[in-house]
Amino acid sequence: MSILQKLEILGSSAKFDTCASTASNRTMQRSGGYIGAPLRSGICHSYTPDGRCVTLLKVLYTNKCVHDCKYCFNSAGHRERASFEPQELTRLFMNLYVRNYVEGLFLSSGVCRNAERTMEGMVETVRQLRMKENYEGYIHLKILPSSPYHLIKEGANYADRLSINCEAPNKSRLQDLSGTKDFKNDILTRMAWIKGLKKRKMVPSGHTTQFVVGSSDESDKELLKMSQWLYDKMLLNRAYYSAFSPVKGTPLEEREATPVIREHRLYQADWLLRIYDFKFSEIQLAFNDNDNIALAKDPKLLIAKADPDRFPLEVNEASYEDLLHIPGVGPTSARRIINLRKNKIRIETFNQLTNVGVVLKRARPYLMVARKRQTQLDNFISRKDIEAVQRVVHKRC
Amino acid sequence: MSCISGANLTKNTAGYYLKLASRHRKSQRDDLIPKVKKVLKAEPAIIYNKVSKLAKQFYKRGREVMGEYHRLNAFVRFEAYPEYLLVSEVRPEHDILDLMFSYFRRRYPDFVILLWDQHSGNLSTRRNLDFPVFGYKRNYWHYPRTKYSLLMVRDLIRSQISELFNVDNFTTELWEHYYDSQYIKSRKNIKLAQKAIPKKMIAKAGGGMSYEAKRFDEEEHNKQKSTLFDFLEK
Repeated sequence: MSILQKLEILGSSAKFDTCASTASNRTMQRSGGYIGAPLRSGICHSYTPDGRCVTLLKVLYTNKCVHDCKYCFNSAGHRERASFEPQELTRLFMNLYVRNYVEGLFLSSGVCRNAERTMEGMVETVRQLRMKENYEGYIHLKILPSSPYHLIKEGANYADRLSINCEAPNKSRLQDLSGTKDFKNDILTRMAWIKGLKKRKMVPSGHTTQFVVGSSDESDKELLKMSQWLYDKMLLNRAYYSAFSPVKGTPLEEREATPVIREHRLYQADWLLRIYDFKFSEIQLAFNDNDNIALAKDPKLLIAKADPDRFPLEVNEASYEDLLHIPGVGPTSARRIINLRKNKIRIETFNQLTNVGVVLKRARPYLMVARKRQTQLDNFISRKDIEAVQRVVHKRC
Repeated sequence: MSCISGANLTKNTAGYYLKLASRHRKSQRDDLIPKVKKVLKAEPAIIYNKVSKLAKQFYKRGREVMGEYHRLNAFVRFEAYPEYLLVSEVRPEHDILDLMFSYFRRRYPDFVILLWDQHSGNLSTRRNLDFPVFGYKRNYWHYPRTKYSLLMVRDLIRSQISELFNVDNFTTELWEHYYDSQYIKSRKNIKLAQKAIPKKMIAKAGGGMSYEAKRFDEEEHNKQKSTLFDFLEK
């Protein structure tokens, strides 16, 4: 099989894996005799017509797999099977890297025969890149479920980021998807090992995981609860959510695809947990009766609507944490507002807020500027009248 | 990483943006930068926290320069030649060629990097290739545009390389195969892709994004158009 055919097969098998960041805090010791350099901020080298960025050479080492995951591209029987040799993949990658097509390598794999054997080949590939090619750029290495500790440790020596996919939010959900993977032993135990390596400063870009959203009837609450637990207990850097889309030839081929907007809402809620420091109890305000986030609205807006007593907030007096709870105010604009206050500059107009970076369209109903606020329906009608109208409407319904 | 070579500046500070904004094409002509400097001296918080119109305009310029620098670093594609020579053509709108050069020098320290800006007539190299007809200006070689055509410059570069001047088509083919393998058709979103790689940027990258542009066009024209026949079929 030619290298082009292999690249096509193993590249398309890896396209559902998510890896957004290429940032690394690793410091280089050498001044010359190397190729590539880690970056502190991410960079996207291209975009496919679906709008997703192509930043790493994202390939599988092999697409032969002993697991039976019902959603997986590789479990479809009719697929052509292929494997890379470490040297072959190393050369292919360096060719693309030198010409500035990619920022690094993302190496994942199916499990051929057993995890140890396949993992050995993957670790050998990254070892060759670092030791033979003197490559100093970014490497993201996927850890296969049930991989032995010594290979994970060796991989951590060479890779910037490690990741192991949870796929589902808990044991029972994973059992629905795969009969060969053990959630606790194969995944969580390995994650705990990676956490230990991270504590020893061996994985500069930390570790991540990925969930397949909508493949096992799981709710958003289950997914976000698990993510929160992983952030707290496993020191996970980031959870990725990948909307399920059916693949022909797999047991779930008849299942409906998960709408991409659900993936988007999950990322928004996850962002609130990680960056905005919302508590999980606050996120719960955005869930509907089925424990899912309503697809029509931004979860932050839903949370604000569910907690009306908190608002409106006076911009010149609210704390940083309170400002972050206003829809349309992000960490940057909240920081700027606090900085202005420290410099004794008061915000007097809504225009000033726009300049600072606040999205007024969303923020207006929830804030006051110099004690002035957006005109509400209450300004024209009394609360009693509104309640009376609501009672009539309720009776008629 | 600070993108400004030689300057010990923290990213996202007003000083950092000042360096960037002064590289903006418009900053050579108007007095925005002196005005900002004046306000920075009197009331720095106004600028730091972007609270006035002037500050907003200033940050916008900084962001535009930063955006071009960041995107071109990503979208430029090199042709690799013998003797560790990497050549690429770029057409930046702002004065960022030396910044790009520092970025690639860190990435490929043992290579001779040649960034070629046809528009301004600048060639940026690390090792001193001998270009007797060019003048040396700031960090890069300069050739008077009126005197030398694109072809002549290309010939000059070729004459500097001892071995055959061959373009490696195989890697381009590898990239095209890989690029196509990453596309998920069910998630097609041309508008989002075009927003990420605007047409203007495709031109600036000097051919580096030509395959992507071609694929976007193909996908855009593949839109299912309903015909009278479809209507009657229903």
